[in-house]
Amino acid sequence: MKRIVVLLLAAVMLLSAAAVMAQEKEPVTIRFYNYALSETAKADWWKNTVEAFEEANPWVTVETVTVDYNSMIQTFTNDLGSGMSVDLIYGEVSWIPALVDGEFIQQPKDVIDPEFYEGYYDYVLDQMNYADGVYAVPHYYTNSIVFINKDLVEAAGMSADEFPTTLDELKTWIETLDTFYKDSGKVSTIFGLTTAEVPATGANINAIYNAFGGQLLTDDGELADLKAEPNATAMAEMLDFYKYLIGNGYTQENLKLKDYRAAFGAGNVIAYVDSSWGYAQIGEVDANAANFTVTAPLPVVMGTNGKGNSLVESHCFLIGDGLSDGQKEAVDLFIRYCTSTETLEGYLNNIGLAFVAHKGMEDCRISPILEGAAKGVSHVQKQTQIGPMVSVQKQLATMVLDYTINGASMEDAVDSYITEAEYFINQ
Amino acid sequence: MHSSPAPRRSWLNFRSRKQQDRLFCFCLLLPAIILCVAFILIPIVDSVAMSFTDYKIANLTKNRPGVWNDFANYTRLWKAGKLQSAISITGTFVAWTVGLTFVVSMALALILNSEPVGARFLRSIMMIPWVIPTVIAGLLWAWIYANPYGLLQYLVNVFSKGEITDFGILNSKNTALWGVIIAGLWKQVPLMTLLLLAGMQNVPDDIMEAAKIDGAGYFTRLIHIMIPYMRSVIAVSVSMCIIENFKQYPLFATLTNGGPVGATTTLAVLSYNEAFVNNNYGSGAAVTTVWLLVMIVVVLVFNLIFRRGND
Repeated sequence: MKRIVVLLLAAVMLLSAAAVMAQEKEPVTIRFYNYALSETAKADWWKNTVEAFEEANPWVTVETVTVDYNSMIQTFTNDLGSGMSVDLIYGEVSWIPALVDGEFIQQPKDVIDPEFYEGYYDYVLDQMNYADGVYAVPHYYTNSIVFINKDLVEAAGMSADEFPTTLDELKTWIETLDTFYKDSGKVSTIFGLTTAEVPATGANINAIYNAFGGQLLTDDGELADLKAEPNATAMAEMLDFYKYLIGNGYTQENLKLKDYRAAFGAGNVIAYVDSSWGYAQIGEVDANAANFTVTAPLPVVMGTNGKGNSLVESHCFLIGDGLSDGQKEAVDLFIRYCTSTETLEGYLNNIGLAFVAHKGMEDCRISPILEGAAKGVSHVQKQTQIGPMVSVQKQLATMVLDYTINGASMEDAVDSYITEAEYFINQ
Repeated sequence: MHSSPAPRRSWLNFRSRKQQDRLFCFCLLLPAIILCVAFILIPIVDSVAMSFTDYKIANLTKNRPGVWNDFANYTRLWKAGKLQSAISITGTFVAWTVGLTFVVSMALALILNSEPVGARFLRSIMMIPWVIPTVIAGLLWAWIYANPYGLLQYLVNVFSKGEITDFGILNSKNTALWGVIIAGLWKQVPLMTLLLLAGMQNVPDDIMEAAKIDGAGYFTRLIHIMIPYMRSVIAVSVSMCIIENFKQYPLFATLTNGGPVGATTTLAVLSYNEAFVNNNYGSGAAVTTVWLLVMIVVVLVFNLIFRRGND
């Protein structure tokens, strides 16, 4: 009898051990390339997030790789060429075409839990569409918004809460402030728009063109007919607006967004157009900038056809090609973990101000600074992604400078832009 | 009867002393030759071959060979006017920078050669721009040129008595290249000054003295004695300066990135943009090939002119 009991006990123990073994997962490592790790505040957040994730999922090791923002593609190329794997990338929408063309990434729908994938807002996910499908999932997003120094506006006897809603009102607003601050020496920019010939400026000008009712690219990824309506009117009105701002000294020529952020933080700029996460650099200049910073959407009437729409910009997850099943599961879990209110709320309020991109985060608190801009958060237009997007958009800055500073006629500036854009698109 | 066996001779004995020396020299040179072939010649040949193909990122990552595209990289660049423009801008930049660097360096070397008070201190101070990495120098000049808060804008404002308040040298296509040339001069003058000064100090004093006794004036001695004696130093330093400026990229990247309106898009900038901004390595390689050829031709012509002068 004793023998039978011992045998039964042994059998039970073996079965239990087998069951436990079955539940334990094979250890998996994912190599996570993240440009944000080179920025101190963001790096700390990512380090804590990765550690917390690994603690909750001990079978997953997230091996983070810090890469420079400007040399991301070269880093992937070199690493893949030398046999290393690129499993997950934290990047921007504009990188998608190059990464797809380089066969670096796969469609997230093949990796992410279908129910969770359904939760992304369509108008944000649409922006990640390239070639044959969606190639990234957003972490959060922004559109183009106006940062306003409410102290400077109120000192001029105006209210920052009543930001203009039409282009004509905006011009009056600018001129009133200019009259007040003209000889004070306190303010360098009344209403700043970036015009430096860099990719971020190109994206910003493209957004302004959309706000005026223009569309740069067709759904097929070709250059839209910029001389047909409503594009022609939008282009003319946009260029004239830039000329009005630069010609009258309301905006500084050839400045980058980071220049405006620094000057805004220093209290020298009344208002300027940027992405919501530009606030991170404002806050670096003045840690108390939240006391004087408010935001507003672009005016909803911009010229003849413009409705103040802009484009979606997003920091997003791009998933490497050739993952094992275990890695796919780990990547899915990690993305879902990072895209949750519990994980992301602090980041969105204190580090990178932005709007949520997933229905599951509707309860997430948004920074009070973005309250004004939130009214226009869904005023976005779909932008087709193409391979040479960066160059095609950057040429917009060249066109604006050509017309506003270098004396080219509007027709010549636009013709020159079309020639250059087609050169890049047709390569 | 036994025939005496032929003396055993090592393989070296089959060669004359001269042949042995040659073989020994070749053995000494072999590592350098292998390194040059592996790290210079093969990459150049590879780049030239790439320039005739359609070669994008996937070719690199998936190790796929490029596809021959009937000189399309060259014709596309040429038809768009990009090559001509970049060659012209590069030529203008190199000509002005090298010319001005030489003139300013020669003047400074002459001053230092006359042993003014504090010459040694001046020589040490002068080296600072040369020691600073070019990217840092570019950022420094970007700060000086910044509009409206830069030092240059401040000085222009002061000297124009407040008349000019928005002078941005890098903002206009007419002045942007000059902004880069000035930064290039600041960076390169110190080295050339020291090289020329070293050459000047090798000019025999007795000849200069004799010319002076014979009544030769300062400029006569400079042109007919000093400069001819310095010919080899001038040739080397100017050649180095030409090459340095032909491949100048960091200053353009930090100051103008090729703008405004393409006014500072040199061959170096165009090559980088084609390869690493547009991710078209074939096109980038085509620019690089043209760039290499133009540089070789210019240096050859310069050396020919100098050699003819020597004759």
